[in-house]
Amino acid sequence: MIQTTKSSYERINYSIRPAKSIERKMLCESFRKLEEFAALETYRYIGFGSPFFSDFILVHRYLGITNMISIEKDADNKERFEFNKPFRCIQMEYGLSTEVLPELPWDYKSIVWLDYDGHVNLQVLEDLDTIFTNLMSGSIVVISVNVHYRPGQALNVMKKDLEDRMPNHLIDADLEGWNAAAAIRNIIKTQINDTIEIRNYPRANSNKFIFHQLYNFRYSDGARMLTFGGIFYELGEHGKFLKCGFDRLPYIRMGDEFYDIEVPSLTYKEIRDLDSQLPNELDKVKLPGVSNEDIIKYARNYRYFPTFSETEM
Amino acid sequence: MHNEVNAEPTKDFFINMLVKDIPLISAIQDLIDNCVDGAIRIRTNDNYEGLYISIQFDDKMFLIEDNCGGFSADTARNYAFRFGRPEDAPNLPHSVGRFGVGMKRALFKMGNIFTIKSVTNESYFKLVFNVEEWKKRKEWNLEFEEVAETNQKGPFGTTIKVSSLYQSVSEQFVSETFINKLIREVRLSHEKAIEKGLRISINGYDLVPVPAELFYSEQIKPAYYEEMINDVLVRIYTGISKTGYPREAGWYIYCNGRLLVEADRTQLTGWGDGHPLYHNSYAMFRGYVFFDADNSLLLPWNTTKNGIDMDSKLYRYVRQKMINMMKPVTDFLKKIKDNPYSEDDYNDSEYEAVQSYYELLKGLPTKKISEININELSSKFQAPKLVVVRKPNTQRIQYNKPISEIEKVKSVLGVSTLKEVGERTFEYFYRLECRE
Repeated sequence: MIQTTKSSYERINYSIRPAKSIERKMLCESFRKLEEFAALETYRYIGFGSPFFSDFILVHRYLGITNMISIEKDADNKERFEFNKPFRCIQMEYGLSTEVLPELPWDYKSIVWLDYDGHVNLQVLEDLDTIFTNLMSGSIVVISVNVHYRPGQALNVMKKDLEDRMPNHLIDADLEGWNAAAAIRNIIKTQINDTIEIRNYPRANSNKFIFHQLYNFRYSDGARMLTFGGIFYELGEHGKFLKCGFDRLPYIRMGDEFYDIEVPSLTYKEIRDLDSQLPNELDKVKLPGVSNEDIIKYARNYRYFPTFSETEM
Repeated sequence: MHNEVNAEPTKDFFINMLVKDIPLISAIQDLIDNCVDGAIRIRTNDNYEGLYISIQFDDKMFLIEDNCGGFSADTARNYAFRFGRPEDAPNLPHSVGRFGVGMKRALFKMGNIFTIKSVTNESYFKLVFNVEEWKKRKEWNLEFEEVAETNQKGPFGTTIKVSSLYQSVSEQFVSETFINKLIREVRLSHEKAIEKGLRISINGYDLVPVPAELFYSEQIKPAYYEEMINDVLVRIYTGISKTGYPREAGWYIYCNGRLLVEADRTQLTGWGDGHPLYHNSYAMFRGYVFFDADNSLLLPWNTTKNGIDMDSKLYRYVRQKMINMMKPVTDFLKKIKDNPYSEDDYNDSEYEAVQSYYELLKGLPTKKISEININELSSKFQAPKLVVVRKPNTQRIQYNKPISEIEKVKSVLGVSTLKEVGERTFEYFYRLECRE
């Protein structure tokens, strides 16, 4: 199959995937809260820019971050990436994330968003290990992985991807449909906590690191995806964390519960009409011919909804 | 009423348990560790010149002799022959023998009769231990054959002789393979002590240290990290060595100067668990970890001291650092294997490297790690850079082809990059059609 040899950017333009676009804006908005830990412009952003750099554009424009690293595995197309870099301050690092992450200096507070094309696998776990072994307090790490497995093949595929890191207790039903998201969230969370626990060994209690979950998104622009992430800080800075007020954002999820990003199919005229009624109590928003369900889906995310007027020029 | 239940161990059971899992070489190493501890005790300045340990054996007997200070009749009476280390036993800072079973276990492993003599400045004793006879007695105590607790004349040291060897032991003692292996392991294990002047000889062969060397110059620097963790000083080096022997690749772990793990390429040191599996591209990789502590109980070694206690939290913490420090080195090795001329770094230019990484490395010096100035090192491996020059008389070709066809060509050629596809297909055509 040709598809498997291509990067996902060759198959789809990231910036027009509506759920992803909503998620991106939500994440970016939440990153602002980090101000309690340090001035945002002192942060470093690490991501997989691909040729569209949609996340880099938002992070630079809205957060003012200039220390930016885009990891790109497709070293054959350097010219293309250099050309598409939207800002001069983005530093390209070619290679696999498992190769690049250990080479980076880690003496910056960081916002890391690893938006993987594929399923969770040993490389993903290795990246998490590298990141949480080196990360500075007051950093945010976000991981997106594909949690879409073909019916009946999930266990085998996952076993191949995870080898002896495969949780032995999983059965087919655990990976059926959206169930896989919960199973994979656990695998990622366990890896993060294991790495932190080992790293904490010599540290005094108030200096021990913790990982506090903030994001637990499920969405589908085709394939089912999971975005999991959170903030990493020293216990002594718990006060700063509380001050950030992440929990005031409606899409923040600190527990097992997911935030589903669902995108109703609406025309631009309908969107403009709904916008004119929002924000409002949901039972007061009405639009002829559009189901209440779709209206609610829209109303939950309308501030982050991609609209026609929004072009990235 | 007779309600007493007998739970006393039999001596037979006790001895069997003690020697069951210990290889002969480790048993001998335990005896050597005791001698090295003597050297550590009497020479606090780390200079062991003039001290020796001599080991001799054949199919009849085993003899180990040293002038490393000896142990007193008092120590023999109260501690040395106890099974397990009494809590009030005096602590020797920085020692390598610690669990209080080494000597007895080693002797039980080898034969039936031991004779131990030790001279210190304050006492002399001789003790003969016949295991078969001892087993028949109910008491566990031993008796000195000769003892004098007065000032003695030097040299101060200990002599232990084992006779009436078990058959499997006497067979091994005349095997060349065994002798070679013992020499190799003792040399490696006590390399640090030998470097400090301690003479160790086995059946007349003086062991010579072959200290580890890593590439070190302005251009290439090993990574170095140190941390004091709960009274244990941990030092880690990662770097690359001359091509040499792939079997020497991997991690070396020392506790108080004693090598415990040699050339490890298993999950113990992260290969295949946190780091990709070992592969011959990594043959030049070397990593060294030194754990040092005054209180040797804090070190992450297992009780037979032939390995690391993988469950130790300290070790797991250090292992995380090790993996972190090995990755830049192994990535560099992978890169120079895939791309000895580093085309990746100047893909889109008219430049080329004047030499390959291997040629570059050939010209660079190596240095003993003990002589490398750690102030020059950072916790990240510094890889050398190739010198590039403008390519003479070449021109770049660029074209597009359907991906499916490119993938087919890639798999037929067995290459992974587009650049290789272009070059190989061009070379192929040129070879078949254009050569005169």
